[in-house]
Formats: sequence, C-alpha cells, structure tokens
Amino acid sequence: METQNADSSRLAEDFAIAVRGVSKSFRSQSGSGVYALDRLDLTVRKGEFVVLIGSTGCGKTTLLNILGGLEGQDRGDVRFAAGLNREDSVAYVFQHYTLFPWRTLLRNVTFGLEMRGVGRLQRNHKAKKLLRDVGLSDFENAYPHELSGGMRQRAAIAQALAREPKILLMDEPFGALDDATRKDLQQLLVGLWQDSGTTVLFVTHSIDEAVIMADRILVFSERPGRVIKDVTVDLPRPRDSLSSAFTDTFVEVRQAFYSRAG
Amino acid sequence: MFRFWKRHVNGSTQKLPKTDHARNWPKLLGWTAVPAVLLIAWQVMANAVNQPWLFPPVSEVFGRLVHPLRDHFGLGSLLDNTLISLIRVAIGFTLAACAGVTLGLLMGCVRALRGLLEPLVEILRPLCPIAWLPFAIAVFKLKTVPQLFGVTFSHTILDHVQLGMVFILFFGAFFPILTNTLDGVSGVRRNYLSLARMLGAGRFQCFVHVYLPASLPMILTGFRQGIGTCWFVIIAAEMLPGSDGGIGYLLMYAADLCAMDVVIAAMIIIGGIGALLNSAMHCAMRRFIRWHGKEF
Ligand SMILES: Nc1ncnc2c1ncn2[C@@H]1O[C@H](COP(=O)(O)OP(=O)(O)OP(=O)(O)O)[C@@H](O)[C@H]1O
Ligand SMILES: [Mg+2]
Repeated sequence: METQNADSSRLAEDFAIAVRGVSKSFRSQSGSGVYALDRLDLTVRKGEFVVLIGSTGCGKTTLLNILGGLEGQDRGDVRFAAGLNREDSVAYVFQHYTLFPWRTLLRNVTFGLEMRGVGRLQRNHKAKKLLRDVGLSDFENAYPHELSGGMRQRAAIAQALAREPKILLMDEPFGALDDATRKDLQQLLVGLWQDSGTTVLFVTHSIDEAVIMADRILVFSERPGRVIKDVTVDLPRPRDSLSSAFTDTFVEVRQAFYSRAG
Repeated sequence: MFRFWKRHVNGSTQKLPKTDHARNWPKLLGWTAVPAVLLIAWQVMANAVNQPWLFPPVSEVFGRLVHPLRDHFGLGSLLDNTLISLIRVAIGFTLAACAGVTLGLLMGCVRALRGLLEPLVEILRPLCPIAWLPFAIAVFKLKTVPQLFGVTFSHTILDHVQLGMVFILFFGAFFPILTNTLDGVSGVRRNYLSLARMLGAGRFQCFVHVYLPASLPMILTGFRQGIGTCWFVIIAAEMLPGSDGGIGYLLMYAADLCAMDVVIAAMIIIGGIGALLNSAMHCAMRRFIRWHGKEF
C-alpha cells in the first residue's frame, strides 16, 4: 500500500501513461469472477523504460490490453500525456501472434503505414531501413514461418516501430528465446529506445532481463495485480550483469518478487 | 493484391536433393504400367468380343481422340462440345465465386446477417443442383446469355450458354464456396484482428487485409470443391432434355446411336478435364498460400 501511495504522489507533469485505480475482473465459464487487476495505480514518465515483472496470471497482459485499448477496464482511469492518443501513439508487441503469416516481412513492417495511407515507395523505404536496423535486411521477402523465433521478434519490433509510436507496449517479447538471442535483442531494443526517445512499458518474467534494460522496475503482486515494489535502476548503460551494483539491484528485486503478499 | 509469388529469400538458396525417383517406383508404375496393362487387356477383350458397337477396341476410341476436330453426327467435334461445356462451367462458376466469397465474408463478419441467412443456406445447400433443372428450364425457357442482352444470335460459343444451365451451375458451386468461406472467416484468429487494430486498421481495412487473406486457404478449398461439383453437374445436365450441345450431350447422343467409341472417348475427356481442374486448383493453392498450415 505504501509503495502505491509513493507512486501516485509522483504524478508529475512529464507522465506518458497514468493508470489510476484500474480494476478488471473476468467471469470464468463456471460463473465465478476472477480479479485480474485490483485498483492498480502506476505512472510511466515520458521517455522512460519501465519493466513490469510478475508471476504468471497476475494480470500483466490484461493491463497492456487495457492500455492498448483492446479491452476495457471495469473501473478506474487510464490517461495518456496530452498530445498522445491511442490510435497514433501506441504500439503493442504481443506475447503471441506478432506477425501476419500471409505477408512477407517487408509487408508486415509496412502494414501500419499502409493503414495510415502512406504511399508504397515511402513506406517500403522506411520499412527497409527498420529491417536493416534490426538486422533482417536479407529477409524482407521471407514469410514469418521461414524465420527463427528470434528473427520473428526482431521483425515484430520493426513492425511496431514503423508507425513511430510515442509509447511502446511489449508483452514478454523475448519469452520464448534462448539466452544468447535474448541478450542480443535486449541490447538491440535498448539501442533503438535510446535513439528514438520512445516510452517503453515492457513485461517480463525474468528479473535479469528487467535489471539489464529498465530505468524502473515495477514488481507486481500475485493476482489481482498491484504494484508492490518500485525499484529505480540507476546503473549506467551498457550494463554489466556481473558488476556488484547490478547484483545488488537484482537481489533487491528478487526479494520483492519472492516475498509478494499472496 | 497478394504478391505471394514474387518471393525469393536471400541467403540459403541451395538446391535441396531431389526426391529419389528410384524409390518412387510404385507411383511411376501407376502412371505407366498399370494403364498400359489395362489398355492391352481392353484391346484383347474387345477383339475377342468383336462387337464394336458394344465394346469398341482401344484403337477405335483413340482414333476419335486424336481427331478432336472431326465432326460427329452434325453436332460439332469433341473439342467444340468440350469447349461448350467448359464455357458454361466458367460462367456459372465465376458468378458463384463472386457471390459466394462476398456473401461468405459478409456473413462471417456481420453476426446479424449470418443469423438471418444461415437457416436458408442450410435448407438449400443439401438440394442436388440437378433438381433445380426443371424449374430453371421453366423459368428461363431456353434463353441464352446473348439473348439476355437482346442479341438473338451472337454466332459465338455463347449461343450455347443457356441461362438455365448457368443457374444450376451457380447452385453447384455457390454453396461449397459460401460455406468454406464462412468457415474460413469464423476461423480467423482474434489475435490477428487485434494486431491489425493496434497497427491502425479500421473495420473495412480489417475486412480486406485480415479476413480475406486469412480465409484465403478455405476460399480456395471452396473453389476446388465448387468447380468439381460444377463439372459433375454440367455433364449430368447436358444428358437431360433441354440441352443442345456440350460433351455430355454428345455422349448421350452417341449412346443413342450405339456409337460406343465416341461415348468412351467423351468419357475419357470428361474424366481428364475433371482431374485437370482439380489439380489446377491444387497447384494454385500450394503456390499462392505457402504459409498455409504454418502459422506459429
Ligand atoms: N479473456 C479472459 N477470460 C477469462 N479470464 C481471463 C481472460 N484473460 C485473462 N483472464 C484471467 O486473468 C488473469 C490475468 O491474466 P493475464 O493474461 O493478464 O496474465 P499475465 O500476467 O499476462 O500472465 P502470463 O505471464 O502467464 O502471460 C488470469 O488469471 C486469467 O485467468
Ligand atoms: Mg501474459
């Protein structure tokens, strides 16, 4: 409860996303209700890289779906900074089904621009540049099923960035990858984030991943999800996961993670 | 719109080892030896029976097939009549494809429409298209497609395309295409719709860029079933009264004259074209929808 108050008192002018008192319950098939989120408060500042960490089923995806406008909340309030709106400013990389299987990579990346009515030449130009940035320029004519999992996630990042979002929501995008690929993509993402100045809200299960990337880590409680710990990570980048400062932060988050109230 | 064929993945484009043909000998024999044995047996038996009006030898039948332009009984050649049947199917099928896909997509996307029309579809679908023939002839008489546009004789092949035939062919292809499209649309994962929405797609854009491509495999399956049904239906319809041409008509006419060599030649053509239509649809499917069954 304390940390929540601390968080809400920090509602600064520079917030990008402000979530206030958001609750969401689902009715299961048997008729009993499940609270996925309960009076959740959190704030993400402009340009900040916030990582949300919590165990499975605690409502992380539900929160991102609400922020992305795919689901409505039962109660509470979601606000974006002035000048930002859902349609144009928010991109969301899903946990699953991140690309259209019937489109080539290039046409997957251009999808968002096509919907906006950007001309073919212009959108191809931009998509090619993005594919180069994520290291996939040789695969622009490949279909998603012809790629490895890591390559698909790279493509999904390019697809999301094509619309130059001000806010990037990511739901365990690297969850199914091996360690080395994961490290590569973490670096790639942090690099892209530093270049673009986008606000990122990133969901993961991995404490290590959180400490490597985040400006701030929010630890979620068990379902219904609430923020039980808010850790600011002040380490310089690129971060060395073997340094003692890193380990200290890691332990701090880990303690919060495993001592969550049930 | 869908540029599935313009693809080329850089990097690993090495040739894969070809399938070992030596191992595939049953298939090879199935295409060569088995038909050969059958033809020889046929020839031998036909010679033994020696009643060509009942059981013509292979040589006579092939004599008909290698002269596809020779006129039979003043009804036109094998080729002429095959083309008449094919043009009828082409017109009926095309109309059914347009209507079936459009209505299937609409019914799949608009709940109310589906609720309104599904009972009707379920009642009409099991009805054999041939059962429509007497009704179609009664309504359309023997009116042809050019007459629909006020031309009595266009002196083209279209003079043989009666509206009644088009009508029943339409029903032959329409329902398989409609129901398959509908299944395709119902099977579209919501995830792809969410993805499209997050990338800024509106309702109509979802229709064109998600529902349509995602259900394309099922639509093509519907096409394949539909064109097969059309080919069945047209042959049967041409054998019934009210017809004036087509390979089925020629077959029936020849049978009445005990010209069994022409009958069998027509049967071979009908079977061959049926197989060709089917494999053409199959190839289209494999070529245009490489991603099918490879979602992840
Ligand atoms: N559409 C739904 N219908 C019913 N219950 C749902 C639905 N979506 C989520 N839930 C419930 O809400 C809870 C939170 O789900 P959510 O998907 O947000 O979890 P999560 O934190 O993303 O988990 P994970 O880390 O496994 O992805 C779950 O316990 C689930 O049972
Ligand atoms: Mg989740």
